[in-house]
Amino acid sequence: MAGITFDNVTKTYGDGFLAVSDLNLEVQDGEFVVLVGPSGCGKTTALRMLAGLEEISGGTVRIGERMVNNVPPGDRDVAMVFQNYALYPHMTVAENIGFALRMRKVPKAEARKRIEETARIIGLVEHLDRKPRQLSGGQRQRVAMGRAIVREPQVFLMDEPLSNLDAKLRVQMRAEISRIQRQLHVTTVYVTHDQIEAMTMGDRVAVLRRGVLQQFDVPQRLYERPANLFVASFIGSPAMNMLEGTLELQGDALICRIGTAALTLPAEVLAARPGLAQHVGRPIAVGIRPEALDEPGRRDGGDGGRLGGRVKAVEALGPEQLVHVDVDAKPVLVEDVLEGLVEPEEAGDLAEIITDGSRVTIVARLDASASVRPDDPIELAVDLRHLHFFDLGSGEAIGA
Amino acid sequence: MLNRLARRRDPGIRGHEAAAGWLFLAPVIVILGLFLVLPIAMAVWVSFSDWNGNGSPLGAHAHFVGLDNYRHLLTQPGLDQNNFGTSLRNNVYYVLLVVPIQTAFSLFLAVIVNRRIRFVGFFRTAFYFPSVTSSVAITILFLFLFSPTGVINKLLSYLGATGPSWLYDPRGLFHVIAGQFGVDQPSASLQSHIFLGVSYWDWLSGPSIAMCVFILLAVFTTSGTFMLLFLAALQNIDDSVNEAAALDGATEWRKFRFITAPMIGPTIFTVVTLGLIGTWQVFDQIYVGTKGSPSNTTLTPAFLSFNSSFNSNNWGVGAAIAFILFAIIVFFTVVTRLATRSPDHVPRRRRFGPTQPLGTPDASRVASAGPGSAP
Amino acid sequence: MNDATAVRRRQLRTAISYSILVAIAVVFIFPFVIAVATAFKTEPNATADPLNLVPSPFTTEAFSQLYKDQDFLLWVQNSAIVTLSVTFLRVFLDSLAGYALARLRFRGRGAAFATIVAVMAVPGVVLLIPKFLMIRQLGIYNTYYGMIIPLLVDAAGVFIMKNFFESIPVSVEESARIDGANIFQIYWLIVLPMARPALVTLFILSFQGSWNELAHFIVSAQSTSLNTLTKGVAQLASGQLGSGNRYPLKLAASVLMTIPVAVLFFFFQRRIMNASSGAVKE
Repeated sequence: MAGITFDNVTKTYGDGFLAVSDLNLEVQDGEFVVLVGPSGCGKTTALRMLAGLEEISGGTVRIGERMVNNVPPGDRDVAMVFQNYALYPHMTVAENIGFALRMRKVPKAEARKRIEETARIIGLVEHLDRKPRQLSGGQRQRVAMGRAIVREPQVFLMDEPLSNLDAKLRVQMRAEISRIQRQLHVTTVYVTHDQIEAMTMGDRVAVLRRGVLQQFDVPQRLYERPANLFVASFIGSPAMNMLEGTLELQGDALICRIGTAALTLPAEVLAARPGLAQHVGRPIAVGIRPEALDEPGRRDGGDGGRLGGRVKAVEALGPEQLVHVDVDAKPVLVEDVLEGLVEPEEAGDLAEIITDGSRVTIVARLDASASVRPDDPIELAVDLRHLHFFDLGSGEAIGA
Repeated sequence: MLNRLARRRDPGIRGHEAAAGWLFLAPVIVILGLFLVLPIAMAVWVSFSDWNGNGSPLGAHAHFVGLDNYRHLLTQPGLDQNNFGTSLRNNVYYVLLVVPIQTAFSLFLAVIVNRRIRFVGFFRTAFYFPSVTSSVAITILFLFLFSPTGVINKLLSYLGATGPSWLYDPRGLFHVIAGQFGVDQPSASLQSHIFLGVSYWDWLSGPSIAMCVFILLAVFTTSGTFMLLFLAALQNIDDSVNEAAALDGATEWRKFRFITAPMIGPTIFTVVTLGLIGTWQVFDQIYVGTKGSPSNTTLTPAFLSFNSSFNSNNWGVGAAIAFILFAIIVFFTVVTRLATRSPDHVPRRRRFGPTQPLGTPDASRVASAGPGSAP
Repeated sequence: MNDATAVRRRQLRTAISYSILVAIAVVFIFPFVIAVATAFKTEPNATADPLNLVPSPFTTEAFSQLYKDQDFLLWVQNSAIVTLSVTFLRVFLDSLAGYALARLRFRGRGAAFATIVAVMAVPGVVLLIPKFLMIRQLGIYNTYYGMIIPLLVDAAGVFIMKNFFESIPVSVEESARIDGANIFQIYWLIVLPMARPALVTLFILSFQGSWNELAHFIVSAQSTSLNTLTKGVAQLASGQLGSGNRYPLKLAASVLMTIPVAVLFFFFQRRIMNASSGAVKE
């Protein structure tokens, strides 16, 4: 059991590519931390540096009190679950799980006991003598977990262990992994590109982008207080609607103009974000989560919170519906936002779909009972207490 | 940075990987160095010396004679030059006949076998089996079949023809054919002009009847192997391409000429190259069979090199022949490569298996791994 | 044309294809059948009636002559010693080298690989004399060492192993590293067992190559007590041109020496033919 410290850690590859830049992260003993971000953000590299599979170009990594920069992976007392499980195909499940014990010359009797115990935890007792090719994907994944568990290491490392499973199985396994981790209370660092996985599993989540740490916080705060445009777009599904707006001072109150709509910001918003005062007159980015939009009458948006447009499409999802609405406004399509939404190759396509210059399609999450049809005009009530504001230049959230 | 500091004593995270790497490679490198690199250097020296087999070639018995050996072979009239010229002539015809025939024949077999017929396995096995046997066994077999009272002549007699005495017949094939047309005597000029100790007339003799037996032997033995190469290449051509061609109204021959053949171009190149490399080195069969007779018409440079050294103790000449042969092979390989370099050939596909045709160097294939896995 | 004609055309084409193939197959198989038949004939019978597939009289004299008058068993023994040694050692050494080239990182790896490729590109025949010189110089002429050691290195084998190792996912080896295995343990316990298909292929190809090798045995030893099958049978055959033909004897020898490779071939046909055609990747 140990904490983990990344102290100014950097990774540069031979061709000059900077994969991880000045990473500072501290994981508490027993904590479940998720590293999340789009592909190429450096999360796997960071994990591999922790494992000892990549050289550390700069800074130090500590496991417990011990600096492990030059310690070979076998001596770091970490266990890793790989994305493709990396099982030894010519060995049985029992031999796979027991391999590390064999390397450490654990006596056979004790090894046997520990293997059986682990098999019970992962639920594969009847399969101990099978070979990997005779197992299903889910079972193989559990063997990979078993290999890690049996070692009773100080740290668990997991590199997208669920991405090869089918969707429903993934949901089950998420719960399993969380349960096991809580039961064993082992410090865990978990890498994924799926922000839903990150939010549901992590005690704390670190969002990375292009090798730089964006924000490291508990999931709830990432959701409620994203530190910048990227985090705001990346976290949350469906993604946050990002519109360009301008602030105006009208007496004591601040008005936020988005397209043709004018939203009067309540006093609590101003109190929470004093920085808004400096941005009067300049265009800023306003983020509205689909959950913050509703049918008028269900929420009290008051007079200052309406956004009008025309319904473009409706997606019925059982208890709720996702309504795509064309509104008169300018979208914020800077890199920060796009990268949070899609893979780089698709950025162009996305931009073309959601906007045609003068109008932008936003998404609202409405109750299933709301009756909306495509081409209907619609007035959406905006929950003004849950607006997000960002500086267009730096992308930073406008706050204190 | 940290790496350099670490490397001195602390093995770092990869352990003693460099040491292990060299240790693992050591046996191969040592044997290569000892039995390939150094020997070649020694042989180069011997080719410039007059060593006669006594003692060590590096010792007192071997004296430096400069280019004498090469001169004896190439420029000075004499027995050495005669033999060498004759062996060259023999090998040239061997190459000129074997390579095209085996390439065409194996391609032909591959095309027919590829026609999705039943018992493909049986045919593949039947055609490939000779490649699996040793040259000794096959040569003995052919000695038996082509003996003057043997199977082949018996078969020919059933067809009303009388077969020649095959391995005892030194007449050149072209001479025999010319003789059918009444050209029995060479003209004076053809007889008198000499190149490498062999008259022009003799250069035009074609392979001897005896040599023809070896030519047939070569085709028999190698067609199976090359058929497999062509089969693999043919199967690489997507069915849809053939179907599209059929829809466009192409006949079998046209399909082959315009679609199939260009797409297996690289394979044709490989087969030809391998064929060239192999035919210029023919030795085993000569050693087991005729050892050069009749009348030196089955003498090849490879056998001559061996004979000069091991039997006549003329090591300098033997070594010189070997290196000239090397030059010839390299020359032909390069020429073939240049000749078949097409600007837009079908892109290569990687599959697993050795990526080198045995015997052809291709330094561009040397690839070292990039900087580890991407994030 | 109507459907019936088209179908008939296709049937004709298939029939022609078959007949051509069968005819050629007969040409390819017939010699071996005759060889086996002749091995059981007496000499006069073989000379007088070479085409007949039925020996009359049927005799195993050729085989007993091989055993009694010739040192056939000695040749078999020598071939076995050399071939098995070369095969096993080659598989081991080639896999070591292949693994180093595929997975271990060290300076000069690229150069080493290039050297192996370049050196192995030198045609075999050019190397006959040089190898002899070196074998003599090292004092291993006329010994098993001289016959075995130079055959231990072949580029094809190294390539086969290198390519196979490269196709194994790195994560399996990384997992073993994290589990605490050192480099040799990873090689021996993890990667090598996974390479069984390539090892088998290499084994078969090496066996075939060394069992059928002739030229190298000619230059590496001269004592008849070291004769392998190839050299012994070759000596049986040569010098017969013009003198009495002992075809049954020679053919019996040829047939017997072919049996091991033939058996190996029929068992592993698929593998051998795949490896052979995979020898050149385009």
